[in-house]
Amino acid sequence: MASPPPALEILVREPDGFTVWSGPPYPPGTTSPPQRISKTACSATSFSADGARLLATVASASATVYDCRTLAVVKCFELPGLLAAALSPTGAYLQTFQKSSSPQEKNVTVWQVDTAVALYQHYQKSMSKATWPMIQFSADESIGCRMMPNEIQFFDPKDFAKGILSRIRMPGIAAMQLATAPGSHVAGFVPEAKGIPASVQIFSCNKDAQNQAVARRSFFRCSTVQLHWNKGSTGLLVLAQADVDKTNQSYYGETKLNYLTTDRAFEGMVPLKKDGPVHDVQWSLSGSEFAVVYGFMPAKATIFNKKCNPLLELGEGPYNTIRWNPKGRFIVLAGFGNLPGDMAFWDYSDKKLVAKTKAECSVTSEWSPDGRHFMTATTAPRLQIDNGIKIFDHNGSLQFKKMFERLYQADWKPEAPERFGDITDLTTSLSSLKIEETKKQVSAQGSKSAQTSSKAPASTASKPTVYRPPHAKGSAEVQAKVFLCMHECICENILLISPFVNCNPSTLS
Amino acid sequence: MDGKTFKKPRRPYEKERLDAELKLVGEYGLRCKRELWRVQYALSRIRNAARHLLTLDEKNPRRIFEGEALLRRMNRYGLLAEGQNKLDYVLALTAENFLARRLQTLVFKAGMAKSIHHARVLIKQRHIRVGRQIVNVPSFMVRVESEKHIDFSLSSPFGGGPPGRVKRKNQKKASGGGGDGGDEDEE
Repeated sequence: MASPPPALEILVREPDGFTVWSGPPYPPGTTSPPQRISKTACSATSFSADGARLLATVASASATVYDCRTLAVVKCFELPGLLAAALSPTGAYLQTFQKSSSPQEKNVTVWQVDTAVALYQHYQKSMSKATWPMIQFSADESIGCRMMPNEIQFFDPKDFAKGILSRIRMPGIAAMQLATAPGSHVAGFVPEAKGIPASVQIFSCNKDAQNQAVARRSFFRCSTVQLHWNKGSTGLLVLAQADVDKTNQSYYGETKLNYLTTDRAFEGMVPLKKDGPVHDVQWSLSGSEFAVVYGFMPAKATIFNKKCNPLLELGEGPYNTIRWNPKGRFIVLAGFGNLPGDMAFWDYSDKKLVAKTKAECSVTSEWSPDGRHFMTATTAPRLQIDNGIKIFDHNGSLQFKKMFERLYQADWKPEAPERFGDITDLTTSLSSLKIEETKKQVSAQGSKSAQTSSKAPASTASKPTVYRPPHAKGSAEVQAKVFLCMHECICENILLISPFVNCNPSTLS
Repeated sequence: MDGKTFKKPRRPYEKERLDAELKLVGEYGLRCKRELWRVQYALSRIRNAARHLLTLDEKNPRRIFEGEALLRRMNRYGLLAEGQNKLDYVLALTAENFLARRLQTLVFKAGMAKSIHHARVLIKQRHIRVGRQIVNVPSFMVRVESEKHIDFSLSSPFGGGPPGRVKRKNQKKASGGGGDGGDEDEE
């Protein structure tokens, strides 16, 4: 690629404001990464979906939009009584909701960010978290759609004055999701009425083909639904949740996973081999397979392909989260929330477990957009102590850790994964480490090799008679080479690793 | 002439047996005790066959051939899991394994019915299809590969078809009753 890959950035929000750090890799011994912007007071921050703009709001007062490349203010909007604000996917439009006292004041506004012109306004008495943002934009902002009672309305974002382009009539609609591929489909959910089952229907965004649903699926026993489109908008995963479990197996209710394809090749339930709730379901970033964690604890994890055939079983364990690597090769299975925080790193193409480690009390977890780092964060208000950020690399070893007094949010800046180079250089060095096939041995030695490989360069310099397990004996040089190519600055600062290495076992065990 | 498919119990008024049978009938929405006795009879014939095969010699061609066929049928109908491919597991099967493979139970478990009794009503009223075929029979034994193709039938109002007789009548009454209130055939 001609242009160099963009730098990674992390947004960190604390009680006194937010700041943006330049991203990893950090040289060892860094206590505080370089900040790109000094701390600015705010109550909420979010990036636009493509990472071009950053929105910072101060509750009931103002919303400021920054450009992410320069971190300069693009526009600042003074909005008294501001309750919620959302940026469109490319950051060109801003939706705001203000508290309004009289029906004459229109309190939902769509602004154009660059010119600060209000493009569209209307009055709405109240809003709920489930129905915000009111207007959903497609990824390239060619279509906007809004859910009104009993119908879905389409707009053209470039010209709001044209009004409603078309509408799809769906009596009783409660939830809606635009497909990710711009301009293709929209899915709507109608909950259960008197005798009629709840249904999820897929309609085309094309105005002419809108009288008939492309695909539909009906089911009873469901109160809320989560709709997950895949990247190419060919498949929709529907996670239906019920508050009361009529099969009397769980106090917390039941969940069901259905799968719909837009070409009607498959419309049905995903066959899951274990009873119990579906903890997490994620499409891979290429959109051709998805991973599900399901079942009563210890939960099973399976990867299915587009035709809903199981591709790979990832075994059982205390997991309830799945994170795909944006470059598509690695998967993290983790148990956060009420579970102790075990993380298992899998190599999906070799179908091998790479490493197992632990990150206790994490609340959020995300891969970096380039796929080389995995960040977990413990944030308030979910947890009030032990707030901090931990960054792991792709094979599970802890690279960076920073604790805070109180941390509210820690996010990567979103970037398109295509802008970064491939991560095959990481994987060729992994295969040369010759990790054994069986899962148990790999998991035991995976964590050991992370420790011994970090100890090996230091020990060969000082103590040549240290014990090295059999699998590392022949490939000590290769492991040293692996470490050098992954962390460029460590080769000069080998001695600085030892304080870092000594604290590793306590965080890994 | 067709044979019998069920066997009445030897002791008619045994308290524990009556309680256990009533529990199963309630849990799986069966119509009468005979449906349960039918399943128990089928199970006992399969267990007898497996027991007889196990007394034969290990290399006996009859044991190999019939044993494989029996295990294949058990796997196909989802009564045995994939790892359990030996005749001894067949001896450990229970009536609940069979009852869990009925179409009525699977329609309920798939979330397509509000209760197990609602599932039976839906099946009998021709709303459910397996693959492309409408199945009218609540005790249809569903194969493992057909299990993901259980869906509402295309002609059913739940599955995208036209509204049913009662709804059409009510709609007509609501729209036409205000107008002429004329002669309508009430069939």
